[in-house]
Amino acid sequence: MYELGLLLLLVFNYLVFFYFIALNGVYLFTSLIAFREIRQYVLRLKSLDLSELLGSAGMPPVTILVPAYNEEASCVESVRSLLSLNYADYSILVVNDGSDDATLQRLIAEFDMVRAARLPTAELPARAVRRTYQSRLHQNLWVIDKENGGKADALNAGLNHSTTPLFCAVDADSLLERDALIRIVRPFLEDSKTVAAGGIIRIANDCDVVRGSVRRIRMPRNLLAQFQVLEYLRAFLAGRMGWAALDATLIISGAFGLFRRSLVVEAGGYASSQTSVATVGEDMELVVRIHKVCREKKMPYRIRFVPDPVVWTECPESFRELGRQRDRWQRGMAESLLRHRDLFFNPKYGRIGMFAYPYFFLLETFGPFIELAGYAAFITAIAIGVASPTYVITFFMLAFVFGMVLSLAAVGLEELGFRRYPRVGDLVHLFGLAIVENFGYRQLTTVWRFHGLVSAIRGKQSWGKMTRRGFPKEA
Amino acid sequence: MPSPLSLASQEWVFRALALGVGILALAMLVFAVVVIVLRLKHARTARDWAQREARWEATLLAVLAGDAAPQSLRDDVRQSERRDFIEYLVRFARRVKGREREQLQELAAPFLAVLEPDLSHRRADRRARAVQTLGDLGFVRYQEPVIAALDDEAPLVRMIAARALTRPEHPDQVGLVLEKLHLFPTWSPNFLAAMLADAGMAAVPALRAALGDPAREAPVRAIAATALTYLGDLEAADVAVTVLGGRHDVPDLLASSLRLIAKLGRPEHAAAVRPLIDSGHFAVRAAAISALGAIGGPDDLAAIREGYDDASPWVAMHAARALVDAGDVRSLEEIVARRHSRASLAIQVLSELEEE
Amino acid sequence: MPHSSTSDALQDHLEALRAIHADFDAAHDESVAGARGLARLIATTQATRDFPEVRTVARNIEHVADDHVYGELDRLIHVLEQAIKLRVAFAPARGKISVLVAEDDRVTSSLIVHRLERERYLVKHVTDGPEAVRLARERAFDIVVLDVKMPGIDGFEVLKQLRELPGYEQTPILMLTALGGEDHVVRGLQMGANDYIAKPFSPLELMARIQRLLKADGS
Repeated sequence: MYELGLLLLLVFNYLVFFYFIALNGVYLFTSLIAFREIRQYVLRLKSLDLSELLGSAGMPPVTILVPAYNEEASCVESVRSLLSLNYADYSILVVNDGSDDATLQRLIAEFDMVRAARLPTAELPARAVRRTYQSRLHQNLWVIDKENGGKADALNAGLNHSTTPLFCAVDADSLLERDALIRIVRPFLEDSKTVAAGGIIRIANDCDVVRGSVRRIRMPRNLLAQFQVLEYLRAFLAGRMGWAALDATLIISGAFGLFRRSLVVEAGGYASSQTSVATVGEDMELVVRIHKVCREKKMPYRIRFVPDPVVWTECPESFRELGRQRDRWQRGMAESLLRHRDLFFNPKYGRIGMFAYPYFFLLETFGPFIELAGYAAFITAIAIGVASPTYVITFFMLAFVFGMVLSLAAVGLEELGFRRYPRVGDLVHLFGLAIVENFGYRQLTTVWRFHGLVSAIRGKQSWGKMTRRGFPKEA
Repeated sequence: MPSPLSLASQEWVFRALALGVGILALAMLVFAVVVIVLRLKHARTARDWAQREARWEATLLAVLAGDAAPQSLRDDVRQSERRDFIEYLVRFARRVKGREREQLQELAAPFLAVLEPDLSHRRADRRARAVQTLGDLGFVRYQEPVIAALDDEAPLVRMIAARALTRPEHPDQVGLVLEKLHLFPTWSPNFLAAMLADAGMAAVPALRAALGDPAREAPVRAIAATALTYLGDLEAADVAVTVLGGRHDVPDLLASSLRLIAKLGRPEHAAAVRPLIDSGHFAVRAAAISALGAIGGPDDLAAIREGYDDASPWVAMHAARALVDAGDVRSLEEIVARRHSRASLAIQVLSELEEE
Repeated sequence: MPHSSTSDALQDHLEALRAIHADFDAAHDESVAGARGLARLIATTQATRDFPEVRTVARNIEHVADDHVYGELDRLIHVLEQAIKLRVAFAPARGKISVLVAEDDRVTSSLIVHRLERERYLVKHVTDGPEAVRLARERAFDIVVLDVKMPGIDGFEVLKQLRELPGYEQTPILMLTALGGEDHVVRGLQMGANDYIAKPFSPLELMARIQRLLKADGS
């Protein structure tokens, strides 16, 4: 019996080792690829002068969809910032998802909006639209007032009223840089196969924000926010950039993404309670579905990630908020991936099915479970006395130090490509955070993610109540 | 007594793993230090650069205004600074035209030779940069290498060359770019058309020739049509009409030509447009209806009204707008009154009218 | 920035005046002397340089009889309040032509500002829309050069706000635009711009247009 237990422990510990090696190994791999991509991107950027493109008549028109729920405090500022984007031909469609605060009134008052008809171009199922408004000051600014239905539903309603070949989904509190749109549209110009593109999200806490644009960039003062800066760098630069280069993008953040409208409409829009089943991770779910639809139609397609167009957003600074956010993200990822289980090791879906999906499914989604169990097993092994010093050191290296390597790499990527933090002190600070991150903070996020995973598996009961749904922030 | 199942066996695997990660970690820490040092160095270079620019800027502005001799600025450029100086001048050259641009080109002339080796650099971005800079600042002298770059193996270089060759200051190369347009199959057609249109009215003859040439590939002809539309060349409409009579199996070409006629055509062109409102492709129908709305006669109103009931909502939208263009607002109002299934479209189009 | 301190200074003077007015006692020598002293200051300070009305009333206080000082204080307060409210110079500054340049691109603006200053215009350069409107409100510019796309508000919005400012109904406004398409040009002209120039532009041509607009305006 003891032998059996020991055997199980041994096997499990190997499993955990394998998990850490695989997780970090893949990240290392994508980091290396990202390194190459970023270099190339930075060099290319200098060649095609953006200001030239501005004057060019051939830029595709874009509709920016802004789902808004109870955003009375920030909606006006966000819209102002969107109005000053450097781009020739674009419209802003704010979708008021049945807010019960003064969001709609503020917008109407501030931008002199009047009732105006807008023909729907698609018929994705969505909760009823009450009225559409257009601003008399800015012809390209519209508000769609509809009944509450959640973020995905709001996006679908917006899609129904879009007329441009491309649409851009942003969060109501995202702050887009002025050049964001013109940078993210480039892959669509260069390659007509492009169907979607994502950008990078950066953390605005403690940056100087004047009239909706970030004027001075600073590291946040709050320690949790600082760790998140590091995490975002890793997730976007080392992670998504690498995956995109491998043509295996599984997620484009809801905070900022550009898509081909006709394709998304054809694929059925976002997954809401009206179209199928809502999920918290509707941005990931959409991308996965785009892959499916394109492959089924056998159409050549590309999903790109552009590391430079930036969207700034505030991140949580308290344990409680951060915990809830991570819980929710994990749940969203789990739900989206579980829904598309048919991708798992399915060669029909190429790299997505054979490489990306299994990685996200096994290592990212179920990762927290393996990791926490791994720590438990490790402690058990020590307690029983079967763990040799070498074993302990190895575990330490794999579970903690390897992660540190990746965090350092992420800071290096940021420095190589963008140098957004102008003070050298901030750079040193980032490296310091990278060293410390894996000895506590990471484990904390694992606990939160574990909680999210459990909620997801427990399942759909949490969706029973159709209470007023707000828009959680995606990543 | 360690049993073979205990975790103490397979020591060597553990040792290897631990060592591997350890070495990696050490390497990354060293890398971090290197990065910090590089950053410090970069900060210093940036400061030097800023100082140098400040030095140059005062002189440059004076030279451009005619208050100082160009040579005074050139003399202030050290051997090692030549490249940077050219980069600096390019920033200004991109933003101006006319006399000042010529002056900038004169200033840069003696230094451009430093970029020549880059034209055959093994890295594509270096070549692209060289082509772009030489195209901006030294087109007269470096015309040939820029034209040669159209055939470069890297798509980026080709595009840079194409853009350099479609500037209004020297529009004679547009024909050449048109011939090479098939090298850019993945680029958005509107973007390419806009690029060609950037060359200005002098590009019109080459564009008209391409549009009217049945031997050319259809996508190129379609792009030429769009470019002519951007430029507003009235005579191109006559050429577009000949296209309509030709091949009926390329919707893009037909649609672009119809859009040209919609914007620039005359009533006598309507006859060629009419048959196309029954085309199988919705984009062609839509464009044909728009064209009829712009140049058609009262007899065409019936056809346009039918377009309103087309299966495709895009065609319907074009029909609604065409009715407005043709002056038949009454029909739209009737549609609203009759509570037509697509009444909302009519309402929207009518309200657009009110705003004007 | 001189202009923000101007309005601050005016505000300060107004507060001081009100304080003296509240405590004023014609019988008290110190009160009267204090009022006269403050009036003298106001009549000569930089901040009221552009407001001759204010200066006239302020100088008056020095010369009137003691029992009229209180009434003149009243007038001065009133006139100063008006000046602050309208924020428009009652008379153009010293005969020099002032140009407001609203352009956020560093290179473009240095080209323009240099040329203008060379021609001895008084140039104020701002890099965003709201700043432009604020400055325009504080002093009367003879001509505005406005970039359509700047951070803050939409350039057309700035155009509209400028036109709504008292005194700017006829001020020549020249638009700079990098955006392609005639609709922007048409829109600008419809919203009240007098002329436009597309980027890339010729600084020489820009100067010629500015001079032509100023002549037409009769400056």
